[in-house]
Amino acid sequence: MVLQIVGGMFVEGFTMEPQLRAAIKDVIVEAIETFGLDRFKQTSLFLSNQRASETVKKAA
Amino acid sequence: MRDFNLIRLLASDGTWDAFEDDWRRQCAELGEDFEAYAGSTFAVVSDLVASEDKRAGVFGLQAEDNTFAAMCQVNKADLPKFVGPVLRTRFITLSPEYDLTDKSPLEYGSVLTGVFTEVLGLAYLDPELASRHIKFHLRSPQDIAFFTTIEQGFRERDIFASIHTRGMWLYISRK
Repeated sequence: MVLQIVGGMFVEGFTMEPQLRAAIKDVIVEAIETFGLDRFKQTSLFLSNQRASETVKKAA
Repeated sequence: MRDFNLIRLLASDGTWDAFEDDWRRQCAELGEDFEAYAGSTFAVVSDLVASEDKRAGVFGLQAEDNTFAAMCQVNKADLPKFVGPVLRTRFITLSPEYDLTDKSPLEYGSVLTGVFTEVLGLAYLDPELASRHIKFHLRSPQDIAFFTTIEQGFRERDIFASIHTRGMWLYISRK
């Protein structure tokens, strides 16, 4: 059984194994590299793109 | 060891003010006008910060140096066609530093991994937000294309019970 501190409390049971966390990171970094950094920076994860999108919507 | 912690941003305990102060500082250091840059996005989430709804909140991804690398909005809902509640994640937004400077794929990947794994942590552990299903909102065609690439990677590694992109959402069911 694993104890993990969550929100200031000890929670018994689930913890994200380091291997799982590493696998998720591998997938995401590979996805950024495959997708291309320039295209990645055009996603809505970036506030400057959200703002540009809102400007386009308002203009429409 | 975790690189980031996802913390709920509340008006009542000062975490929202700390978050806003940090992003204002980041903007100032990069010569960006904060109000023009982030004002409309902050207006969207500020009501939720004040409401303190237990099944919905705004969260900041905090690094070990206490700066905030990203934010997102999370809420839990019962939706048609799902057995059990669904945790919905919207407005995933990188900080001014990550937006306005050039980082490496590894640095962007680390922040996005932090958001993903910490939201999964909420879905597994949070007393109010625990859910078997998680949805991530995609706001543009470019988002759909990018998260479809992520979906393919997760599928190849068999990390989740199911994962697929449909419409403007990435759907995940945890094992």
